[in-house]
Amino acid sequence: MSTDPTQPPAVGSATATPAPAASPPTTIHEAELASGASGGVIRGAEIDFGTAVARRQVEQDVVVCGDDLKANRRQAEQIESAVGPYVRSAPHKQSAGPRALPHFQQQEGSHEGHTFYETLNLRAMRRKA
Amino acid sequence: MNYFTRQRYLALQDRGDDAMDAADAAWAEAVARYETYLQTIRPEMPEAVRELLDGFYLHDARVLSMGRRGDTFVISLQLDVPPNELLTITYSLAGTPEIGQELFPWATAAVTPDWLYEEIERIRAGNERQFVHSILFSNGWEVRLPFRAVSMATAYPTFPCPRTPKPVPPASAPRSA
Repeated sequence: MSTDPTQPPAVGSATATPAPAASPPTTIHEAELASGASGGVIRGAEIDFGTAVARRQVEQDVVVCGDDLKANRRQAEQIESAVGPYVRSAPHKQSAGPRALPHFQQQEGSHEGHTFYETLNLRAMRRKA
Repeated sequence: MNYFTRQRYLALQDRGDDAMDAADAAWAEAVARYETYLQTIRPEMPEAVRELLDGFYLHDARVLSMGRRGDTFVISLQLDVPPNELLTITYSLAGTPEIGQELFPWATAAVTPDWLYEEIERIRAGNERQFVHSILFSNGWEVRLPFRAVSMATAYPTFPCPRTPKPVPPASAPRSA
């Protein structure tokens, strides 16, 4: 039995394989640093890419959320690179707190703010209602 | 720096998934080794050193000034975490500070640096308890401060002002709450 590799498998075909699960999408949110001992990042309203770049241009924080570390990191890098030359920092809890997130920020130190991103173990905090 | 070295920080700047994964793995390994080391020296830490270690999040703090008079070294910071308190760290030196002034490739000497990473190290000096605070700054400078005592003082900032968000241009207002 042969199959045409240019055609999708027929429905019900014995050779059909389940489609790979789509990567969960990243979402971008307004963000702010939490005060206190957590070192965490509080996520706010969901925003689009353009708004995220605009927030970073005025030195406010944003955070990229989702279950896919690489997708989060790529999205965060794209946001920060749209603002200017950037650097990346990784946290350690002693220096930034147990819930601190990795982030991109501008190379020029006088430009405030960060583009944070979630990892598998480090998540943004939701504001208490 | 023994753990959060400039080389490891520079590796974090490599681009591409594979390079970033490798840098992140190396960083995580350094974090784990440092935390293990800290556990071994915690029992020997005076209260002030524990407060320096645990009481403040120094990452991304703005360095306002740094200098020495005799056996005293003073660093003045504005913390990145709200409410952007001012923090003055005063070290009673136990030896000569080492100050490496090699800049990162993107940095310029004129720009005020931020605090990136720090490490506490226990050193042997006969029967005296001494420590070293090593700091990596965002311009690439590295400072290594042997000290026998340290004190911290905080203040709510009048100047530099606490950071207040600048408005986002109206065309880019959030699309949903």
